Amino acid sequence: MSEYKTIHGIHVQALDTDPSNLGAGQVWYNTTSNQLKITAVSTSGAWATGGNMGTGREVFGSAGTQTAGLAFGSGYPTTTATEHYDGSAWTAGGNMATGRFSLDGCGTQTAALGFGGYDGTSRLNDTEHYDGSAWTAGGNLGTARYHLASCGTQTAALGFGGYGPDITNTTEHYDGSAWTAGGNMGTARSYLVGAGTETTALGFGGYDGSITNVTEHYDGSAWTAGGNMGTARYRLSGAGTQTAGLGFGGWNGSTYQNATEHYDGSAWTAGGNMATAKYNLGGCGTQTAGLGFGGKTPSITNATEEYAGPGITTQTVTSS
Amino acid sequence: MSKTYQYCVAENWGKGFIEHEDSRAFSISSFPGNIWRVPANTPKANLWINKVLGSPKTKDEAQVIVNGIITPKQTTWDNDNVADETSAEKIIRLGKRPTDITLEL
Repeated sequence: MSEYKTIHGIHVQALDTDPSNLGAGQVWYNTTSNQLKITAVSTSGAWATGGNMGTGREVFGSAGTQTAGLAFGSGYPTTTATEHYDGSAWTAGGNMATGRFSLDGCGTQTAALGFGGYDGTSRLNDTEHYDGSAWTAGGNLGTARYHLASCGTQTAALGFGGYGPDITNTTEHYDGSAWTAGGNMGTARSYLVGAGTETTALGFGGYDGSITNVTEHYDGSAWTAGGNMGTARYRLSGAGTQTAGLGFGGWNGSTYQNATEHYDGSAWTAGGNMATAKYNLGGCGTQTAGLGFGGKTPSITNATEEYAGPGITTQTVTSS
Repeated sequence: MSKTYQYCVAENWGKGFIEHEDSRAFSISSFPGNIWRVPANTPKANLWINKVLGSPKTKDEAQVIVNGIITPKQTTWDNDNVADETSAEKIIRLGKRPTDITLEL
């Protein structure tokens, strides 16, 4: 039997920590965990548990990345509470000025935007800016709405769809201080998800009178049709960009969903399943490093899941 | 009839409870009441149950725990009514009515 050195020309390296910038087919021995490890190429994706939120919540706003996530607002009843995620644990942030649920948000953990929603009595049009510690008032949406979608940054954002008061197809652009009208979606809907930027956006899933799998692309002025999701669903979450989107969770009309789908700019394909099927959850990050948190299972949950999309994976060699 | 799945009760402590390597190796699904389902007769799934200190349950035992969570929530949802509220408004206020979940053998 050939030794590894005969094949590769080197011995298996002994390292006290796993290396970074891994390529396919690498082998090393971790002297801290006493484990033989290899890299392989995964064509799907997988979810792992992350740190639990301080407070379980649903229909809330979310923003940021897998290692710098943000959750704010919630129902029912309403809350103003904000939490930060650092890749392993959630901690309390500053409170929003207005308690609300069914809002949406975008941006980063230190430059986020939260807008729209419902305070239990009225549809809201107000916007709040977050700087990593405190929320301050921004410009008002032209149309007060809830169960809407969003994407972009604090100074170049997009809000679209939702109930305002009826299911709407309208889009609004935000420049950091004021909202202006954009192009209308082909399909008016609520409970949908947004991803991407103000000028290269993605809207998918939702409720247009029926639960839908429709995807649309936005170029900064007009929406056009994209590929349909494999599973029509609403109350889902998502992340990523127009050409590398991620959709997960939701409700298909009869069951909570744990399915994940990847979008490549024209078609959706199946990814790894979440451990917990849920809806009304939050999401952020990218297609290859996503974050899903909170939601309803049917109990409101504080659980977090971290997604590793297709690509190089580290595996531990075991005897089984 | 051979089992496809095995069930356990375990509390999700957060980071590290399920690792990417676990979910790439076998499917893991949770249900109300801290019920976790993994494939039967799968060594890596058995090791995961040990890791999370899972308390094994039969499918019927797990179903009783799941029902014990869902049934009261359905009753609460059914009894939580506001005068003149439409069914659509009730769904916006409370979310969808919790549905039954039937575990598989």
